[in-house]
Amino acid sequence: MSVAPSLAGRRPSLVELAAATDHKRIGLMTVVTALGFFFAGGLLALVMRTELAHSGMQFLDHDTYNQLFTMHGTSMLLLFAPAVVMGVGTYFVPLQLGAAEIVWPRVALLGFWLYLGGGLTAWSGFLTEGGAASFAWFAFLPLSDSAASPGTGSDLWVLGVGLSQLGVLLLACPIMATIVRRRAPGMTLLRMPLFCWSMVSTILMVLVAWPVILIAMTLLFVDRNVADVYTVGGGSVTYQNMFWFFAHPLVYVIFFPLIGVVGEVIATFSGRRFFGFRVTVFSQLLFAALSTSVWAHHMFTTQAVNNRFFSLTTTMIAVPAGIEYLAFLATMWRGRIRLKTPMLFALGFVLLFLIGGLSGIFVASPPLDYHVHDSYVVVAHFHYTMFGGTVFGLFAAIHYWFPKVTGRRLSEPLGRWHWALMVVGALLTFVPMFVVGYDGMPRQVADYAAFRGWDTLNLLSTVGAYTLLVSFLLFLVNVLRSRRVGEPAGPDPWRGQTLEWATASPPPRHNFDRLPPVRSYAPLLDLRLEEAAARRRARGRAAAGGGAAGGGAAGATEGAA
Amino acid sequence: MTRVFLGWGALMATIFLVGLLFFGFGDPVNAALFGSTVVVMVAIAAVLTVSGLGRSLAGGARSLPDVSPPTLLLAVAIVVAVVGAQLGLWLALIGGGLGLLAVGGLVREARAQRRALRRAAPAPPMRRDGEGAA
Repeated sequence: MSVAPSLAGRRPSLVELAAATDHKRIGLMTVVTALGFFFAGGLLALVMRTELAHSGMQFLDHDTYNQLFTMHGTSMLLLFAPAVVMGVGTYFVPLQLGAAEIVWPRVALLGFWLYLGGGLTAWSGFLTEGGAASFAWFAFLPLSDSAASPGTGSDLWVLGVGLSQLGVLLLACPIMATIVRRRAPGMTLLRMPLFCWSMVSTILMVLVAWPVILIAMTLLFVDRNVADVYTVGGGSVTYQNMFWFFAHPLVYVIFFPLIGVVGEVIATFSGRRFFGFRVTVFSQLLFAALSTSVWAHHMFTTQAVNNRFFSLTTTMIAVPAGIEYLAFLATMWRGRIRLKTPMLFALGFVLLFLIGGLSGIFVASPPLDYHVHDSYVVVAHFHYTMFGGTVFGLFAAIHYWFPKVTGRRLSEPLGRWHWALMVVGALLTFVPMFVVGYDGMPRQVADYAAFRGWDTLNLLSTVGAYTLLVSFLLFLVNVLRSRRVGEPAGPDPWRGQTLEWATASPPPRHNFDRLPPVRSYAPLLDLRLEEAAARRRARGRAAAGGGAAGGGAAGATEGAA
Repeated sequence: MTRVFLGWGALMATIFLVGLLFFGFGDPVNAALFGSTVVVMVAIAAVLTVSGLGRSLAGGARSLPDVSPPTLLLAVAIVVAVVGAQLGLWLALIGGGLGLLAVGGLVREARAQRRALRRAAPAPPMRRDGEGAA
């Protein structure tokens, strides 16, 4: 198998960087921008956790706190997570499919810049007189109408969210078009890698849910500036239906691709083919359909939705989720597991996402949801799905694919420290939230009464948040160090199973000069197995030939005698 | 791939039908949201089938510029125009003007691309290892 030469070396000009049609550059810009929003949103969380470390107001006022949690949620859920998975998809889906480029690269480029422009627009609210939006990242009415939340910052938030999500939608379409049109010869649908299939499930949801948020934000802007829309059209419940029809699939859009990444990491580092591939693919499509059908479980307490139906669909999600967990565990079973950093993050995903998933079954039951609604239990639950799922999955992806993108490996010891601190930080930050939430601490408050006895647990959460900060700083050090002095990776440092490992690191402009044959969803594993079999056959022939030759010699010797 | 869209649409339709047993026909929001999902999937499948775009092409490189500044300009124009809706008509008009320039640039780019495609011989399909080795 030959490997296309890498074109690394020359620094691109500003125009080449900003207007590139190469999917790898667009994907990388998207991931880096999304990580920028992640760190910005994380800093806001750190400020909030510092305020909450003790009862009483420390250094923030209530309005500033409201702005901080609004922009924290906006940054993490709307600006970081959906964009980062689209960025990873833009970079790696064409590579995994064996395609030379992405379909509709200009659409992807437009999507990236609209996403960045929208994000900056939402954040620019901090520069306005009244500050940024302060009605939480879901902007429920009537809190988000112009009477309750006047000010330019709020309007910029609405426009920014609309623009950024239009960008995400535009980033998603070329990925799907590439999957439809540009698969390598021999790559049938069921020979696509798991990550590509997880992108299919993800983009199916994007295609149906993202137009709804664009409509909801347009109507909200009109409602705030031109004429009442929601008040005459069913009130806040209509808005909530529209918002959650987007925002619940959003949660799945965020972590589905990372399920694909984690599946591939587990298969690679277990030295085995992914177990139950077809069943996992079908379960993911079912997972996507169910998760598009559960939006109203966020509205159980409004009494304006059918709780029994939405409780049923929400609980049923445990079935495809269980199938995927079974596939992960069965892939590792009797595998030759290598505990490299990507594998550690994948295992962290499996463990911490399980906590989020199990607590999700708990809040899928309306009576239990009534008890914990709007409390810190919900905050803990979704942070385990979002942080435990998305962030651990993302770091598994970064550690796994960093050598492919840069040509250099990340440091293993620093990666292990990063992982260990992240696990400790995630448990320390979010487990106490379950306890204080169950005890009645409401979410989105800047203060709590001292007599409730929540100080110690909140302090623990804050210490956990700072532990996470240290882990992320270690990651930054690791990236900067490895870019300069990291060990050269070569085309396939992990003995990967999919096509991206069949080209140079970093890949050249058109990705491949030739492709290995694709006979399954793990073409490079097939190739290695074939080569091993061929070696065994050659050894067998040599042994047989040697035996025959030896026999002949013996015979000759015997004849001479 | 058409089957994937249709199959997923069918899954959504099935869940919707089960939902009808719970919430009946009296809830227009559920019907609109579920119904639009099914319609979008059927529409995509229909477009792919009719246009023949649902089939995969073996992936050689096509003629495509390495950079597309008009696309970047179009994005800037859209952002400026949209923010202009809040900050003033003047900004929206600037965005509109930039948008026109960007569309002109994209048309020019598309023409150049067509010319280049006409001039160039079609890219050979990518080789697979082992093919032609003999």
